[in-house]
Amino acid sequence: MAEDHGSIEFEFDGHRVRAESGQSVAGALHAAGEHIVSRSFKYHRPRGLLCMSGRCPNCICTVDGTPNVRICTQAATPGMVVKSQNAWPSVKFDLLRIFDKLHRFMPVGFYYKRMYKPRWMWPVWERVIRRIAGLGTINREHGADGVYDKQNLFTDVAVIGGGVAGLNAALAAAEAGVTVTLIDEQPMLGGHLRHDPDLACHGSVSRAKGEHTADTAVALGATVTPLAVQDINDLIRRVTEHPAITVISSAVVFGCYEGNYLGIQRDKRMIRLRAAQVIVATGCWERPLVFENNDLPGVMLASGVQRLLHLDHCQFPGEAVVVTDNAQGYRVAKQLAAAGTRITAIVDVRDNPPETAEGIRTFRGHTIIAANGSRHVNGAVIAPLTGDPRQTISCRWIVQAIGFTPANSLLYQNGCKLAYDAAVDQAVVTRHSPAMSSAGAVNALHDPRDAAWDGQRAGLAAVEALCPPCLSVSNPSGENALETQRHGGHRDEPAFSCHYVSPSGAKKKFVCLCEDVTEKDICDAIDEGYSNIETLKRYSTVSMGPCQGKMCQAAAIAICARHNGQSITETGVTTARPPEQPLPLGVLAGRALHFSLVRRTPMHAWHEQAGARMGDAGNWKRPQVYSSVTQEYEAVRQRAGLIDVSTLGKIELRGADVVKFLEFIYPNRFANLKVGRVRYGVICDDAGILLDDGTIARLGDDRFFLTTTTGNADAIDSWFRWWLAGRPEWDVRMTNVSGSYAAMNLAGPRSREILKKLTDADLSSEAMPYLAASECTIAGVSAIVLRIGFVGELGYEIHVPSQFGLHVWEAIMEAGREFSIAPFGIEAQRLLRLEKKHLLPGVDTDALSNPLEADLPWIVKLDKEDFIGKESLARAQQRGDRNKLVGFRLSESVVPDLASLVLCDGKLGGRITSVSYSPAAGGTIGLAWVPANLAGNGQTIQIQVNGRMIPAVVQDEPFYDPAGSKLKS
Amino acid sequence: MTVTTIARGPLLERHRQLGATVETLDGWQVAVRYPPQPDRTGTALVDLSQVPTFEINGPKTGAALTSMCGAEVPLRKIHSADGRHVYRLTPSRAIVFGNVSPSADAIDVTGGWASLALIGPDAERILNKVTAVDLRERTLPVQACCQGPIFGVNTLFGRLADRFELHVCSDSAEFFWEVLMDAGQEFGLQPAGIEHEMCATAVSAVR
Repeated sequence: MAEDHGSIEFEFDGHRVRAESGQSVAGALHAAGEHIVSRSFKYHRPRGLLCMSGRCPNCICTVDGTPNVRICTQAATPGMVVKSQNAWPSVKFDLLRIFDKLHRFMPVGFYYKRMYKPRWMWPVWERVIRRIAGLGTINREHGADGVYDKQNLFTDVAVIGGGVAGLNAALAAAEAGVTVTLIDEQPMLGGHLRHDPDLACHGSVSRAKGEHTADTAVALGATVTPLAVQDINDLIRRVTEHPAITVISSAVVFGCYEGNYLGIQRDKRMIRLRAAQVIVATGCWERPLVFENNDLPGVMLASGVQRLLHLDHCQFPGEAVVVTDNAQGYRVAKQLAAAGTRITAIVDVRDNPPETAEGIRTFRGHTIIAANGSRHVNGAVIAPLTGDPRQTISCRWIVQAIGFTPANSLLYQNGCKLAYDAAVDQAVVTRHSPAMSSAGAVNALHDPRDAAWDGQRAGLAAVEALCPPCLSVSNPSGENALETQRHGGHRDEPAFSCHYVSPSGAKKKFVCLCEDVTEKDICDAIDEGYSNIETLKRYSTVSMGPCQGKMCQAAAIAICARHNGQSITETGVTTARPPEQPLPLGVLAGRALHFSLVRRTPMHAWHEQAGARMGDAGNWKRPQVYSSVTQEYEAVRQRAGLIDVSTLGKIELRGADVVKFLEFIYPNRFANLKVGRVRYGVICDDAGILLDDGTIARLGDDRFFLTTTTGNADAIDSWFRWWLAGRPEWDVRMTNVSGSYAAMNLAGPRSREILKKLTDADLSSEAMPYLAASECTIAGVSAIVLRIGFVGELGYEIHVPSQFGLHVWEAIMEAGREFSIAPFGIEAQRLLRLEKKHLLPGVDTDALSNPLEADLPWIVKLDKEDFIGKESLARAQQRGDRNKLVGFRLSESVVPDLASLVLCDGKLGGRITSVSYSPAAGGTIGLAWVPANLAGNGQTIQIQVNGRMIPAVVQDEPFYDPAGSKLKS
Repeated sequence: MTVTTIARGPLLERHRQLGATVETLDGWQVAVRYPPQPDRTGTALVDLSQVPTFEINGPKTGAALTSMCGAEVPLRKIHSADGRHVYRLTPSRAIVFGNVSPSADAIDVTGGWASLALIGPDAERILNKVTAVDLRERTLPVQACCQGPIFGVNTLFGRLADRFELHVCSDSAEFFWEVLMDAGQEFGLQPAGIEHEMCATAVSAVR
C-alpha cells in the first residue's frame, strides 16, 4: 500500500497526524502512537487496532463526514478529517465508560427484560439507546456525498479472491480460452503473501497435507506448473496482463444470488456481475482468542501485526508476547524481532510444536489467560491449559496467531452444503451448488503450494463445465480427491478446543467485539433457554454487529457447543445472508435521478408553458388544472375546451377475425358495428369483474381502432396478447399504437365551428353524427376523429401521429381563439364526466365490481355465443344485484371526502367513489356503491360526513343534459 | 385546405434547451448540430427519431420481410440495406427504421418510437451502467437486436458496425435521454446532431 514515501497530513479528532503517502489511516495512527481509535458498543471500553483487514469493528470512524468507515483499509489522504465515534466527550476520555462498571445491571438481553414496561417508555428508551450505543451519526447534509452508481457486467468465470488460489484459478481458466473476472477486496493482488512474505518459505499453516490436488489438476489437463510462491509477483503480472482477465480490485463481493449473480461494491459503485461459473477463493481470516481483557488496545491478530509491519511500514516498540498454535506465530515473532520488537515469550498451545524460535522463551502447552492494563496492554497472564499455575509476563503487545476461519459465507449464500470437519477444524464444502466451486483456504488448503494447485484445478474444472468438449476427465471437480486429501483418514471431532477460548472464569472475555458480548453472556443466554445457535444469536446479539460474525462466530459456536454438551456439527451455524460486508444504502439505491420513469405527451412542453399544474398519473405527467376548475368547466360547457388525452392506450387491430376476437373479448356486440362508427365497451375478466373501458372504432371492414384507459394501457395490451396467443389460427394483427398517436378531446358547443376551420371534412351532424368515426385531415395532418363525449358535450376525440400532436394542438387553440377556447385539465374533466355519471374504472369500480352492478347492465349481452366472463355474469344476473353503483345528490352543500361511508340503519352499507360540487346540479353530487335495496331512483341514503349523517337522494338520470341532446347536437 | 405541417420529435425541446441548431428537414424539426459537435473519436448520443418507422406484424411477417429485403431476416437480426434497418423481433413482429414501399402491409409508427444512436468507444460501458441486458458482442453481435429494460423503459437494442441504436417509446424519450446522458457523464458522452459523421447512413434514410 505504502509505495511512495512522501508525507501527508490529516486530522484525527482535531489534531494533525502525519502519514506516509499511501499509508492507511490506521497505520498512520499506530505510527503516531494513537492506539485508542474507538470505543466499544455497550461498555465504551477502549479499543485499538486488531485485524487491519477491514473485518473487525475496532477501527470504525467517521471519515470526511461518512460514518462507519474502517480506517484500516482507508488510505490516508491530505486534509482528510477523521473522527472517532461512539464516545463522549472524546475517545481518549469517555465518561460513558461508567457502563463498564455497571455491567452487572446490563446482563444479556437486559433490554428485553427492563425496557418494555410501561409500554410508552420504549420509544424514549429507543432514543436513549441510539444516542449512547449508536454506530456513528448520519450527516443529512452530507448525505449525497458523491455519486452512487451501478454497473452490469458479464463473464464466463468469476473468481472471487486474488490470493494464490484465485490467481491460479483465473490464469488457468483464461489460458483455457474463457473470459475471467477476478474480484479482490484489497487494492493489490496477492492475498496473504502480501503481508506474510515468509509464508512460502515456512510451508503450511494448515493441518492437512495436500498431495492429491496436484494430481487432480494434472488430470484436468493442467499444463502450467502453478507458480511457486516466490514467483507471486510474476503470477500477478501474468494475471493482470492477460487479455481475457478483468481484475476488479478494492471491491467486495457482498452477495451471491441465484443464477451466479454477484453483488459487488467498489467504492460508490455497485457492480452486478453475472457469471457462468463462480470460483470462491476468498481465503480465510484470522480469528481472535477469547480471554480476559482480550479487547484491550495492544492485543492484535498476527496478520494485523504483519499488515502494519509490511504494508504500512510501522513498528512495535517495546516487548511482545506471541500466543500461537501454528507456524504463523513463529513467523510473526521473527518478523517483529527483525523490526526491533523484543519478543519476551512465545506461548504455544501445543505440547510438541515442530517449530522452534531460537533465542525466544517458549511456553509449550500453555495459553493466555488475561491481558493486563487499563488503556493499553502492560502484561500478559499465561498458564498451562489447565488454567494453573499462572504467571505474568510484562509486555506492551499481545499477538495472537491461533488459526483461521474460512471466508465461506458466499458459498453458504449460494446454497452450497458445508459441514464441520474436525480434521481441519473448519467447515468444508460437501456439495457445491451448480456452476460454483471453491479453491484454496476455503477448502482448508492453507499451504500456498496446495492452494496454487487447487486454484488451477478449480479454474480448469470451471472451463470443463463451460465447454465439455475442451477437456475430458472422469472427475472434473476433483472433489473426491480433495476429500481424501483434507482428511488423510477419519478423525473424531475433538472435545472443546483451547484454540477458541482460554480456560478462566473471568467475566470480561469478549466473544463479539461488535456488540460487547462475553463468554458469560452466551452461557447465560443458553441457561435462559436460548440454546439453539439461531435463537442464541438473536437473543444475545452475538455476530449481529458490523463484522457479521467474522471475528466471533467460530468462538460463539464452540462455546455454545461446549455449554450444550454438543459437538460443533450438532450445534450448526447461523444462516449466511447478504450483505457479506456492510455497505452504504446509497450503493444499493443507485442514482436518485432515476427512481421513477417519467412519461410525457407530445404536448407536454406546451402545458408547462401555459402554466399548467402537472400531476402524476402513474408514470405520466398530466395537466391537472391550467387556470381554475371553474373557469375550465365553464369554457367546456359554454364555449369549447381542449384536453390532452394522449395518455390513453391505443390499439390497432387488423384482420379477418378481428370481429370474432372483439366479440370474445367484450361483453357487448361488435358484429353489427358499421364501418365509420364507434362504440363504448368494457372489458371483464373470467369472473365478470370489470377491468377497463374504452371505445372501439371500426375504420374498415377488417380494421379497428381501440382505446383503453391511461392506467390500463399496458395491462390491456397484455390481456389481448394473452388471449390471442392461444388462437394462432385467427387472423388478428395487433399493433400497439399508444405512443404513435397523440390524442386530444375538443369539447363544447362551439367545437364544431372550431374544427371546421381546420378541415375540409363534412362535420355536420348528418355526415358525422354522435358516435361516428372518421379518418380525415385536421390542420394538414391525417387524423382519426371520433365523435364521442366523455364530458357530455358536442365533442371530437382527435388522434394524430405523435410528431404532429403539438402542431394540431396549437392549430386548434389558434382556431378556437375567437371562441375563447380554453385548455382544461383532469380536475375539470372529472367534474364534467361526473355530471354525466360516466364512471372511471379503478376509481368508481374495484376488484369486486361487475358491469351489471356498475350501472352498465345494458352492455352485457348474455345471448352472445361466448365471451370472457359470460358464465360468471350469467350467474351474477341470476343471483340478482347485491350492491349497485348509483348517482346521488347530497341534501347539503358540503363536499364529503372520497370513500366516505354510506350507512344503512347504522351499519356500513357502501362508500362514495366520486364526489364534487356540481354547478349544473347546483349542489353536491357523486357516485356511490350502495346496497341494491337502496339503489332505486329517489331513495334516500345516509352519508357520514365528519361524524354527521347527511341524507342524499339516489338519482338514475345524469345530472347534466339527461336526454343527451347537447352530446348529440 | 393547405397547411404547412411541422413534425417534432419527442426530444426537440431538450435539444433547444441544450443549444442545438435546429433545422427543418423534410417537414421535421431536427437537431442538426451541437456546439461543440463531438468528433468521431468521442462518445456521442444522436437523436434519430425523425427516421420513418413502420411495424409489420402477424403470421405473414416472415414472408413480408423476405419480399422487402430479398432475403430471409432471421430472428433477433437486423437487415440493413437501402438506408433502412429491419429489426426482426419475433416470428410475427418486425420494426422497420427507414422507408418502406406503400404496398407493404406496414403500419406507420414513426411517432411512437424515439430512436437514439450511441456512438463511440465507451458506448457499451455506458449501457452497462443502466441495463442488466447482456450486450457483449458475443451475445449481441453486429447486426443483431434484442429487447430489455432500462430504468423501466422497454428498450430495443440494435448493434450496428459503428454504433448501438436504442429505440424506446417516444413518451419516455426525455427520461431515457436524461438517464443516458447522466450515465455517460464519466465517459464524456456528448449530445450530437444528425450531422455527426458517424450517422451518415441513418440520416440518408431521412433525406
